[in-house]
Amino acid sequence: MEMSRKAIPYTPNDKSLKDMTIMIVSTSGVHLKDQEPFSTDTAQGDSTFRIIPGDVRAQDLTVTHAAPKEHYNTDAPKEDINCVFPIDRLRELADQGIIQGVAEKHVTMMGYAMRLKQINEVTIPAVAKEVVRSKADAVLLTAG
Amino acid sequence: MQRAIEAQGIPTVLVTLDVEQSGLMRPPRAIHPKGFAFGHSLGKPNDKETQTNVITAALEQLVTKQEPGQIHQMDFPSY
Repeated sequence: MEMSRKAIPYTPNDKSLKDMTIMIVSTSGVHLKDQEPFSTDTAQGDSTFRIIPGDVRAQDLTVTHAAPKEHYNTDAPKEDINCVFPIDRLRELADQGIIQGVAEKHVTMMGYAMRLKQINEVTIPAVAKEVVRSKADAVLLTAG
Repeated sequence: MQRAIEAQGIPTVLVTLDVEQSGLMRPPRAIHPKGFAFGHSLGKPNDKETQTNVITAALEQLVTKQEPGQIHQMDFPSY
């Protein structure tokens, strides 16, 4: 579906946070250490995405990003992934009953890709499908 | 991305440090933690307090009725 840039899609939300399962979709280049890293070829970028299992351990995640270091220094998230992918903070909120739960999977991308047509026609619809399938009540989006 | 997910009927909230770029996309709901360095979207490494404050402020946008398309500028003094 092609949307006008002027129209802002906005889904009203009637649930309270304690009844919501939250999913993370992040363009910060996070991936499992044993997943294929994102490409750092700056001419091409990388329009692929990774599925991160909901029960992932923070220490099993890392970051690969093609952006120059002065624009996005990945040392911080490599030290503590919660800087850009707040999985532990989300779990704490669930443990405290502030949110209902953490989604059974999350999606990550690099957010640095030159092939915009590919992103718009392939990547974004595929990610949206993953979000719908996850049955999350809402999505927290983070960048680098 | 955010727009595509909202179009599926799932509410979203964005934490962005790049107001200029994100503003062009007119996000349905968004916050901007002021003065944070790229790589510190939620806060510095192991700064649990700031990370919790930022994620909580972001999630609260989901239950706050608002005009879509705004990026709420926010201060987090513990950063």
